Amino acid sequence: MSKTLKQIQEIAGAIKNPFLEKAIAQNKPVVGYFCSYVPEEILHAAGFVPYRMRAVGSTGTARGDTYFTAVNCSFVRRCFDQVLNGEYDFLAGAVVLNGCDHSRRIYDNWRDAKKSGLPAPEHLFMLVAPHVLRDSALARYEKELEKIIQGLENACGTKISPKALKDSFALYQKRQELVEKLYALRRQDIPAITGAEMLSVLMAITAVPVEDAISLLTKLVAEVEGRRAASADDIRLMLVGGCMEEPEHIALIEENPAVVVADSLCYGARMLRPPQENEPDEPVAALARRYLYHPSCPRMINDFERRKDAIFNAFRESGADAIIAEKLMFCDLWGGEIFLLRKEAKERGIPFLGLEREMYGGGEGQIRTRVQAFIEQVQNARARNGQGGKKVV
Amino acid sequence: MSEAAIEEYGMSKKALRLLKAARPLYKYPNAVYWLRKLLGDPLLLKETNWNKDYRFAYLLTGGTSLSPEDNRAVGILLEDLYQYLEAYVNPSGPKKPMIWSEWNLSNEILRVFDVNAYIPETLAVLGHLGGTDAAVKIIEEAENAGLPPEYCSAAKCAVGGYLLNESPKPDAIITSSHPCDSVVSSYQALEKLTGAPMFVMDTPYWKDEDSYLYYADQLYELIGFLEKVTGQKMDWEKLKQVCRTVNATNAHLQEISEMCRAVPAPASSLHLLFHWLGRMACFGSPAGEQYAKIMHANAKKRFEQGKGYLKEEKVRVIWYDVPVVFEILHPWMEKEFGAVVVADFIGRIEQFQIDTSTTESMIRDLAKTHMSVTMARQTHGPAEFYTQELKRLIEEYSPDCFIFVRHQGCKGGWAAMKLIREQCQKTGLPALFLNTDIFDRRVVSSHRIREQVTNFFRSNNLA
Repeated sequence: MSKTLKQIQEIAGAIKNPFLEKAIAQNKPVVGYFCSYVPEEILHAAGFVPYRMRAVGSTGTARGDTYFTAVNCSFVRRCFDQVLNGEYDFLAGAVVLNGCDHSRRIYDNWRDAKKSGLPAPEHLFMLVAPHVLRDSALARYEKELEKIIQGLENACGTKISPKALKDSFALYQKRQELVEKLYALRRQDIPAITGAEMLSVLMAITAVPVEDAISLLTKLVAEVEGRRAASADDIRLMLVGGCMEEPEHIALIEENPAVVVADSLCYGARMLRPPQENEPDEPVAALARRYLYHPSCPRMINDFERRKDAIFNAFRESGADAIIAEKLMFCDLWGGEIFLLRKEAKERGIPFLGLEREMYGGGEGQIRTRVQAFIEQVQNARARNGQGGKKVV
Repeated sequence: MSEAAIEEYGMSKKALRLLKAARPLYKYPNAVYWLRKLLGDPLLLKETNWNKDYRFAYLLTGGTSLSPEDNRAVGILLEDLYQYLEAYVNPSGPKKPMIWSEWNLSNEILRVFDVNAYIPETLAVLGHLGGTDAAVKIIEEAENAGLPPEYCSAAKCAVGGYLLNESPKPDAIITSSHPCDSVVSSYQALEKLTGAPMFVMDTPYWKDEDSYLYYADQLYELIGFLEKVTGQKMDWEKLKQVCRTVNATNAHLQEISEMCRAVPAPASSLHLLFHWLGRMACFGSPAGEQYAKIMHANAKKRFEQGKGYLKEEKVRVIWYDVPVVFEILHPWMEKEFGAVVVADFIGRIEQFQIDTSTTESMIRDLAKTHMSVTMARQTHGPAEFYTQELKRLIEEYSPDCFIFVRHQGCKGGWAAMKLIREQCQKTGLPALFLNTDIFDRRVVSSHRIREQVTNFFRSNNLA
């Protein structure tokens, strides 16, 4: 295993990491954020270290369940449990998004916890992203971003200059280009990086300062180029779903003769924004467009066609054989999405497996059996099609 | 697809037959009153083989609780519902575009166009008129087709109804991003299944001028969408008339809501819940205004005489979150415990009046009213929209207790449960948290719900 990859896996496996601790030691304030609709560039330009919230290392939901209930999403319950345990005491602020009915209540519950003297950062923000794509929604989202900018400026006591925003824009663009390189290396006939490793990479780079992320990614790309992380016979999978942050879960899938070569996940392709050709004259407007029109999740009501096309395009470009779609229990949004995607996959003759699970919730045996049976089905189909169990590239 | 799919609009037709039989009776509200008395609660409050096909209709229309004067208003509302069903089950005259509208949207604008409106979720209520298990059949159809079981049962009814041939084919769909993820998700499924063009109102998170303006801008976009799909032009004068009707209706209903603060309460949330159903199906109709006007006059008369809606009001209940529709408990609670629901989450009206003086003022105020509609009002933003309203109700309605329905589908409500519970605890009022579902009787049986309510009243010396 490459040295950088090992380092990345260590970063992804814990809430804190040496890069973050170094930043904190240098008095750089850290702001936690939820969801891919929160522009990291704005947080960075305000002088904060953006940190994507996660539930890594969660051991239970006892405290989280004082606010949330058994019919709420396990990511939200576990992450909020860690918040109340003080595991996020290093945060100077947090930005919550109206992503779904579960996660948007973090803003309400965290404010209440703060009033009760429970662990909470000094600054709590709510960013509201529209649920539709159209010009009026874009204008609204831009206004919301301006409100957040104002809130951050008040919090840090300095004005975010257009130049600072442009500089941040360039840094995150650089990070994205490196991630895209990794995605290209995944799509190779013999992928250079597995699905589990890729998830670790994306978790790691959202838990460290962006400058460190760029340095890690640069080294990683150099180290894994030419690497053979899978076999030519492996079934190539595309993974689709919402919140997933357990590399060990993908590793469980890849224990089979299979490798994940593409995805549409929160920690995945949905982190990639549409390309920006030139340096933007109006950075906030440009950010609004890039973030609102980035690959969407089912919270966006009028975007299923575009989302579906993006998924099946990625499927085709990656040469995937099958799709595994996953949802966490009690997630209406992904429940409905899987219902629709299953139909679409069936029409296209694409093997499709829908899985439901709890985050860090065990049930490995059941998942292993279902995935194993599915992979065998796909292999059998390949054999029937005269490919002798081998992928025709 | 199950057996029920054999007949198009099977359940709606059954409901229509029932309403058709009831229509002539309601011309004689006194006779309805005495007929109900004659049929008697003991027989109809409990489900049996012979009454299961029409027991829900009996409960839906108030059991024996309503006075002859109130029955007159119910008759008007039933006529409206009859017309609503008739329009898609037995359409007559020139074909009109069929527009589906999500159940939490206000349809003043839709009413201006020469279209038939269909509200997919009404099947969850009206389906019950087809028999006790009718809604469950629709829900199961949706689940069997692969819809997630954790969806709100209303959303499952909307999709299941379409799969079961219970819904007319839409020419267009309008929906919103409130009140919950089930709506957000299920309308994407409906758009795909039906292939109809869809317009989505993006409900803002906050209640401020910026948010109202954003919503108002979208109403203009909605009008443009409807003009395009119907080939008709917006008639602003007609909208003015509809808004005036809505204003009058809301004013009456809001005053009924306010009068319920009196002890004894001259009306109950049951009067307002009837209108919720009427509102969903026939929003902005003259009959809806008529209903509100009569119910208001009756309540006001009782209020001025210092009389309660119940002869002897023993327990005043605040009922929060959704009602249990598959087993309308009000008539039973009233009879068994003298318990009257004085304020609730769904029926109670808190509305703005629409300024009809200019197009701009109308649209601006329509935005406000849309965001203040039941469910949208409490759910489209932070938890304070729930808890602050609840706090006010507790302060203003002199309640003896509090019943909170934890509806399976309402994840946003569950996620704010601690905040809601604390609001109750601060008051020291006894509170019952019922784990159930709004439309799906499989989650908790009627018997079990009644048992919980009975034990709650008894253990708190309320019965």
